[in-house]
Amino acid sequence: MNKYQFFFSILFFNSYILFSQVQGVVLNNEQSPLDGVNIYISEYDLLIKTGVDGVFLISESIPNNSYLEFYKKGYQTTIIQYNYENELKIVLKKLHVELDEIGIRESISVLGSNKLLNIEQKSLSDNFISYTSLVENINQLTGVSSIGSGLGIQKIVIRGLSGLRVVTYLNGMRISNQEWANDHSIGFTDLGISKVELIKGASSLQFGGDAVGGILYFSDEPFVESTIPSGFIATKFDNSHMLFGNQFGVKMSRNNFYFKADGEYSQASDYRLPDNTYLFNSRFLNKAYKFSVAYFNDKIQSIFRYQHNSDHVGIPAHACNVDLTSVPLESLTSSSFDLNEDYKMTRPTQYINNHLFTLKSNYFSNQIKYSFFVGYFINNLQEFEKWTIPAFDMDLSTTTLRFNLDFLIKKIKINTGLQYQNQDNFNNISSRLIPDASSNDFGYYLTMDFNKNNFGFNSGVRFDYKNIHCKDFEYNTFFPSVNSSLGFFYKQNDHISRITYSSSYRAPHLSELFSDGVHHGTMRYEIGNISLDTEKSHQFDFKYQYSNDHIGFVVNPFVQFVNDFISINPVDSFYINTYRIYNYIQYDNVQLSGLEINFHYHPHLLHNLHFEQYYSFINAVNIDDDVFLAFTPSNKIKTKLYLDLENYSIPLSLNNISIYHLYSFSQDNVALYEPFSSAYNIVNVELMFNPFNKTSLLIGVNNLFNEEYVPHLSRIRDVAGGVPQPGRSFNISLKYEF
Amino acid sequence: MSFNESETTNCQCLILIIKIMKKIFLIPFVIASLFIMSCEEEDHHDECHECHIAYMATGSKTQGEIGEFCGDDLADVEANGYTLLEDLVVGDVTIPAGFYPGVDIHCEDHADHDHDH
Repeated sequence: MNKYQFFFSILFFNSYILFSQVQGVVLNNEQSPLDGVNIYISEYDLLIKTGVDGVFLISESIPNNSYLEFYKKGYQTTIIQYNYENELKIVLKKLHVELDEIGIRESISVLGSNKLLNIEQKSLSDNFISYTSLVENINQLTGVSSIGSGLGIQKIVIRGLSGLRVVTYLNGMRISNQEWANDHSIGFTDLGISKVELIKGASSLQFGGDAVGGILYFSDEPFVESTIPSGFIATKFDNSHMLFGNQFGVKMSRNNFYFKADGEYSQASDYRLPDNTYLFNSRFLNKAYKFSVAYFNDKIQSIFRYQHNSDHVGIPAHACNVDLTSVPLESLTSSSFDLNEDYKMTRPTQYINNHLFTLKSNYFSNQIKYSFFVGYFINNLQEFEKWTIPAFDMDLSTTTLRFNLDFLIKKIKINTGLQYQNQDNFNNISSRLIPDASSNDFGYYLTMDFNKNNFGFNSGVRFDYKNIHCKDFEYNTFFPSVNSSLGFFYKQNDHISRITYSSSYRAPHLSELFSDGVHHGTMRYEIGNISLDTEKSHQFDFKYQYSNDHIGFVVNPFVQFVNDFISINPVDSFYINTYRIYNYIQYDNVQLSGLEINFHYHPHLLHNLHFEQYYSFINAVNIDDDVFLAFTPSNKIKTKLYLDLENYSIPLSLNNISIYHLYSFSQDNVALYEPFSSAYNIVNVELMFNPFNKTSLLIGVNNLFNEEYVPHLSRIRDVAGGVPQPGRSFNISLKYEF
Repeated sequence: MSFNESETTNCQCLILIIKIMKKIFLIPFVIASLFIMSCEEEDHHDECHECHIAYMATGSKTQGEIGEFCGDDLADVEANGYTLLEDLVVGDVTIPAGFYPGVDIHCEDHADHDHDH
């Protein structure tokens, strides 16, 4: 062992012990072996495949009751709990049709059991080559919207709530990316990401005590068993932004080490509006790379990850010291595209640099899983309005320590743990919007899952004790809170019903307490309020689902009551006659209610045709003043038609055709001084080919009918009477896997 | 820690880690090395930009062009402002001579609908 290997052994608390392996086999209904079945071992974050004889090998040290997920296209996904006393012989049922897009099938989830909690999952494995961005893809789920301006700045809205109320985790680490402002994007790309899990509301006590709106949990692609490098290279072009993007990924394993590395470089110019003009400074550039190293042996599994994401993002719709609502759109757009000039960064611009380090170790003993997680995330955000002087230059560092226990008591699965999180906000220049401040949050949580036959329940509680300290304001305040959730499900034949209650308490953020200055990204002068108190939320969520071989149907009404709702509101005055002043205030009672419906249908005569439809209706009211809440997304109907042609001989090996339609209703339920927004239709079309072995080619058209539309949540809806989103655009992507 | 410093430090850290990694995984190291170039930093010190005074007159803003500034001069005018030696007439508006602080000086590019920038 050389010194480097020794270093890694110490780092991962491991010694070299080879796996003892056990053999299993996967068969179909006719008892014939199935090759190419994916087997995901959640405890190891490891993906293996069956060979041509249907045989697979796994470590016999996998702890009892670990989940193994078996999936292959055309077959029913099966999840088993590993037991070393039982024979590993799995039979996958050939599916008449597949119903997996609307959360009907059971799946392994980091956030908990999707039987017991309202968890939705979306695969992001091939998102880079699809016609959607990361956020746009998640946006296709019911109840999810986005705030943004083009592809450069985008962030998620869940059931009308966003920013600090939607907590984002990436591989176990909270991503604190100055998410309080609408011009601060999600902070990473789809690079190397396998899936996202979404909980609407605050039911995930392990991760999101203050996730009043919901939690997004992104997971990287699993490791693979392969002593030779496997991976992919992919490239894409989108002509709305004249975007060029490239990604690569490589994975391999040797001895008990597993390794992954991914990289990305994307550059985009100003996006083209439906009238063929270009929104000046909507350009962006992204550079990212990440790698992960894991070491697995029979007792301990450790994964170290590092990720760097760098964004240069233009802030469009800028004019010098004038009221942006009254400027003509022509003053914000260019009439043509200049290849030499329009990729260069201009002003105003955000420069965002995120570095993420995480180390997670699991230790198994006596049927107890001990998990230790340590993560460090540093975000540097600079906003330049001038060329040489940043208006804003801030480091926000987040350190998280978490110790977690998983074990079973009879049929009850217990998950309990402690979490400590420290955040430091540090200004690198004297000009500042938010002062230097720090917060410390100690949390304890306990959840219990019971699941037997057709009945199950989930309950949990979380205690948080948060301290916020700011020397400039002589502010040192503690915010204790108790969060809880309780849910039941009952299954009878093809019918499943579930009801969930969750409460969450969110302490005010530094930006809400201490802001005092011009925020150039939003063209506001923002003033915080140090007397803000904890925001309290109570949510009731009911879900009914029915599915048979051809139809899947989900109805999901909800209601959420939020007390002391923190809001930022405009006042009728300006700073230096330019920046409208906004104050942070609290509403006593806010109510959000809505209905979400998913529908999935396969005609009996054409099994390859999938028809999915999603309905989202939401109403958000400030009860005290009996007025609607600002920035509430419009109601939407999302429809997807997917024709699977894999089993037909079509030129260029056309694999599938996908048509996506979005109908957004007009939004008339608006707050005081908030403009209405009109209804619109968007149609996107995508064709996927497999022209060569291991090669995917996608050709797509977004906004096929060149609709001119301004979403209600557009960042630039108030500018120049509403700046439209991109017009019709063509995209082409190519991916080769090796 | 400034943006540049953090970028440099983390790049050094990454290089160190990759050096260690290559002992174990040579091929991934080679590929990851290609991305070291993402550590390069944008530099605007040699750039030149047209600047103007944003002058408020009778409730509306008027832009008074003050010429092109480069390098240190650009940094100076953005930070410390500009002294207009003579009155400047823009259409019907006269921008009086005098000192204009940095907050009134703008050198950022704007959309040009005729696109001759």
